Amino acid sequence: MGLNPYLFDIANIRNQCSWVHQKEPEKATEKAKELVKMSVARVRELTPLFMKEIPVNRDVVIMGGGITGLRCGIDLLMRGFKVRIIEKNDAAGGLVHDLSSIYPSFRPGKEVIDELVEEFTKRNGEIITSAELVDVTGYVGNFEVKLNVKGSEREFLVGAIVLATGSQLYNPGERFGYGRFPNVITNMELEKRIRANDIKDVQSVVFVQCVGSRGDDGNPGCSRYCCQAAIKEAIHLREQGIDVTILNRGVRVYSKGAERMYRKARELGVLFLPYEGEPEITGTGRAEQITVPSADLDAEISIPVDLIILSVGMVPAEDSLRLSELFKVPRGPDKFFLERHSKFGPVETTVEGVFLCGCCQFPQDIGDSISQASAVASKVAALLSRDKITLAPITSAVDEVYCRGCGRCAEVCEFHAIEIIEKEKGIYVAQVNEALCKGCGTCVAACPTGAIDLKHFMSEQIKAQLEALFG
Amino acid sequence: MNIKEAIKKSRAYLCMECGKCTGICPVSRFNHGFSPRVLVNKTIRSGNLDLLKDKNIWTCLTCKLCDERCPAGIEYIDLTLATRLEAQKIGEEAMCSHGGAAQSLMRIMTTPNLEQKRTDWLDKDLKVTQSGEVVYFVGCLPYFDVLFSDIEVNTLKAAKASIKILNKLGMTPVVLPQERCCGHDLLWGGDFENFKRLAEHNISEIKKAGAKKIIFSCPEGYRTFKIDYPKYFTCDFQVQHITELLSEAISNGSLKFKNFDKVVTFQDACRLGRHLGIYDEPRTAITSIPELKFTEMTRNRNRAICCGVSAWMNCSTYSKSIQLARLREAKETEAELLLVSCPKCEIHFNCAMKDERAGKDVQIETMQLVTLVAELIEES
Amino acid sequence: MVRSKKTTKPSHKNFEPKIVAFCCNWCSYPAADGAGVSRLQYPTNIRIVRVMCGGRVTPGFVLKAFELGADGVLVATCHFEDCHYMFGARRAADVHKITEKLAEMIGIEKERLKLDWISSAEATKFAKVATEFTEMVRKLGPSPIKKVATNNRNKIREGIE
Repeated sequence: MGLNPYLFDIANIRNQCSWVHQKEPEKATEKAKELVKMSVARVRELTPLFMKEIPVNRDVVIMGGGITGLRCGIDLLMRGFKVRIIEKNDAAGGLVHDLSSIYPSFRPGKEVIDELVEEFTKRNGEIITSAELVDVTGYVGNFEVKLNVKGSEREFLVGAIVLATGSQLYNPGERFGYGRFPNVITNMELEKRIRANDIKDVQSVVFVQCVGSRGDDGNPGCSRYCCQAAIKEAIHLREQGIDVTILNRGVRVYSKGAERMYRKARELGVLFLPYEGEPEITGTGRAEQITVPSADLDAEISIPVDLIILSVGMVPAEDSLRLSELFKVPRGPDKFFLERHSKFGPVETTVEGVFLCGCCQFPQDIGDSISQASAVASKVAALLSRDKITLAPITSAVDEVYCRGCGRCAEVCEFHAIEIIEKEKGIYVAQVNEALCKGCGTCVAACPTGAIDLKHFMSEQIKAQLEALFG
Repeated sequence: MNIKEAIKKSRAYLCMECGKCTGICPVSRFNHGFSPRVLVNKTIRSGNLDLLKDKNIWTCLTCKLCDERCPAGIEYIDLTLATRLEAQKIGEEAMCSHGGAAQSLMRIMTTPNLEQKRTDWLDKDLKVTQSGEVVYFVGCLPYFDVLFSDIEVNTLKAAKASIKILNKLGMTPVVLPQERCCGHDLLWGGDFENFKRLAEHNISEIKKAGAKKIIFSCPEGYRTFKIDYPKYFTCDFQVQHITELLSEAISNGSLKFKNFDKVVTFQDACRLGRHLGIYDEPRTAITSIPELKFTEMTRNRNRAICCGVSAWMNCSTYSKSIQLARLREAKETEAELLLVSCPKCEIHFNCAMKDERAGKDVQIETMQLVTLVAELIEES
Repeated sequence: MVRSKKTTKPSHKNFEPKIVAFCCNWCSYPAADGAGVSRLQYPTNIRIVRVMCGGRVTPGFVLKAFELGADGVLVATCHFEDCHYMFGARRAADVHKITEKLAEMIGIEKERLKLDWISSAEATKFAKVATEFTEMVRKLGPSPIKKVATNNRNKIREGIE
C-alpha cells in the first residue's frame, strides 16, 4: 500500500531558502525552520485522497465537415478510431469547397475536398449531413451527443469531441455600395465567377482589403487569409490582362509560399495602394469610380473601375454562441472559441475532452487549419488510447448541511463542474462533478458559508499553515 | 463562569423535558438533528468534553424564542453562551461564514492604536462632532457594505438616516472615528478575550469623547452595550435605541411625516425584541406615518422568526429555509415593503432573495425602519 | 484622515518584516522554484503559502494573515492571459479589490498588500517583486495590527495531547 501521496507535503527549503538566501545563512535557517513548521501544520490537517478511474468510450465526433474536420477525421481514422462528422449543410466541404483554387498548389477547392471526402469514407468514417446538434451531456471519455437529422433524432456516445465548426464571412450589408451596385462583390463571389469563367468586359478591378477586419466592423483582429487570397485572385486576373489595384492597410503575407506569390503579383504589375478611412464609390447604376484618401500621398486617388472586390474578414459562425453554450466552451472577447491556454493548451478547451481546430478558434488560412487538425488528432488519440482515465482527486466537495444552494460557486466555475440540484422540494444544493472539476478552488472563495471546500487545499489546512507561521 | 455555574444560573436543572423549546425553535423546524431540549439534557448530564465538541452548540441562533416559550423559565441562550465560551477554550469554533473575514476584522480591531478610515461616508449635510454628550454608535456597517458588495446592500443608509433624525431633533452626535466593533459576534462565537478588548476600547473612546449617552440603530450593538457591557465593565453612560428616541419625539409632536402610500410590514429583530423587549417603539414610529398601511406578519413581536444566521457563523441550508419561510410570511401580508431594524436582517434576507431559484413569492423590497422614517420627515 | 507619522520615519533599517505570499501552483510558485534553480538572491522575509489558483484567495485569508501578525501580504497569480484556469487570475483581481478596501478601512496601509502577476518563466520577476515588496514593507515598519490572541489550534492541541 505505502503512504497515501496526499498525506505528503514539501517544505521547499531548497528552492525557497538555501539557493535564494546563500549570503544570509542565519536568516535562511530561521526561515527554513518556519517553512518546516508550516508544512508540519499543514500535513497534520491533511486527509488521504484516492484517484478515481473512469472508463473511456473510444469514439470521436467532429463538429463540422470542412477541410479542417475532414483532415482531423482522416488522421483519427488512420489511428483506428471510429469517427463521425456532423455537418449542418447537406454536403461536407465548407468554405473551401467553393474556392476556384487554393494556393500554393492552385488546385480547385472542390477537387481537394472531394479527395478528402473520398478518403474519409473509404476508411469507414461517417459523415452525417443536414444534422443539427440538440444536446451534449457528460464529460471526458463519456459524452452523450443528441442530434436532429432531417427531423429524426439520433443519439450516440463518444469519448472526445472536436470542434471544427469554422467561421463565416463578414456580410458587408449595404456598405461600399454592396447590393446597390451589381459590380461590387465579395471575394467569395469572385471565386465563384472565376470558377464559372464569368469575368467579361472587365478592364479594371479594385480590391478593398480589411472589410470587416482589424477594427473595422466585424472581426476586431486580422482575418489572416484575405491578403493572400486577394493576391492569388489578382494574379489570376492580371494574367488575363486586367488592371488590378489592391487597396490595403498593410499587406500581410505570412503563409508559406505567400511572399513569393506577392512578389510575382508585383512583377505582373498588380498595384498595391495603402489607404485610410472609407473608400468612396460613385457611379450611376454601377460602380464607375473608387476614390480613396491615400495614406502615402497627401491626396485623394480616384480609380475608374469595372469591378470592385471586397475582401471580407472572418467572423464567428452564427451558431457559435449556441454551440458555446451547449459544449460549455467559453468564447474570447472576439467571440471566437477560446483555447484553454495559448501556449500550454492551444488546441484544448476548458472542457476536458473537447478540442478546437480551424477557424472556429480564430481566423486562419488553410495550411494552419490543417496543422491544427492534425495536432488535435494526436491529442485525441493520446487521450482515447487509454482504457481508463484517472481523475486527480484534488476537486471541490460540498457539505450539504452548509450549502444554501445559492449558486455563486456555479456562477464562477469556468469549467461548469458545479450544478445546483433540487434535493428536496424548494431546497437546492450544489453538486460537484468530479470529472469536470479542475481543482482551482475559485468556487471556495465565492461560497458565502464555507459549504464548499477544495480537497488538499482546504481552508483549515491553509489557516493551519498561517497559524504555525505566526504561532 | 464554568458550565456548572451556568446550569445553575440559567436554571437548566429545572428542565422537565417537555420539548416546547424544540417545538418552537426555527432551526429545529428544518434541521431535525438539532434540538435545544436534547442539548439542555446533554449539558446537565455530561457537561464536558462530549458537549463542548458537539457541533450543535454553534447551531443555535440565540434568537431567544425558546426562552419565551419555556414553562420552566430556563434561560437557554445564556446557557448556550456559557457553553460556547468554554468550548472556545479548547479550540472549538463555529463554521465561520465568508471565509472568516468578519471574525478577522473584529479581532484586528482589538489593536490599541488602530487608525481606521471608517467615516468616509459622512456627508457634509450630516452634522456630527468630535466630542459631546451624545454618541451615535455606527457599528460595523462601513465594513458590511464592502464585504457584502456582491448582494448590493447599503446598510450605511441607516446610519445616515439616524444622524439625520438626531440632527432634526436638535442633537449633534459624536461619531467615533476609532469606534470598534461592539464585540457581539465574538462574544456569541465564544471569544471572550477579544470581546473584552473591544469593549474596553469602546468604553475608553466614549470616555475620551466625554459622552453621557449612546444612541444605537443596530440592535446587536444596543443589546451588547445594554446587557453585556455592564455585566463585566463599569459603564457610566446611558444607552438608547433610535426607535425609543423616535417614539418619544413623535408623542410630544416634535416630528411630523410626509404621506407614504404603501402597505408595510415589520421584522422584529431578535436582539431588539426578545432580548430587550422593544416592540412598541418601532410600531409607534411606523404607524405615525400618514397614509401608510401597517400589517403584521402572522408571527410578530415576541413570536417573530429570526433572520436565520447570527454572528456570521454556521450559515447553512437551514438558514436559507428559515429566511425563505420568513420572507413568504412577509409576502403573505401583501405588504410591498418589509421594514427591518437590524442591518443583518437586511443582509440575510437580501442574500436569500438574490438567489434566482428562490422564486417570485419571496421577492419583497426591504428597507431599514430608520431610513424610511428619515426620508419622510416633514421639513419645518 | 492623516496617515500615521511613524510610517514615514526611516528608522526601520534593521526591521525584519514577516511577509506571507499566496502563490498559485502554476505560475508564481514555479517562478519561485525557478528563482531557486537560478540562484537569484532575494531577502529572507517571504513565506510562501501554495494555493492551486489565485482565485482561491479570499479576503478571509489575507485578513487572517494580518490578524495573526503578518507585516505584508503578497498575492501572486498567473498573468490574465496565461491563467491555468482561464479566469482565476481575473477573479483574484476582483476579490483583491474588496480585500484592499477592507484593509484600508481598518487601518492597514495599502502598501502592505500587493497583487502581482508572475508567470512560471519569470523567476527574475519573482525575485524582483519579493525584494521590492520586502523593502517597501520594511520601510513602513511593523504592522499596525497588534498580534491578536486567538485560538491557535497547534498550541491547543499540544496542550491537550
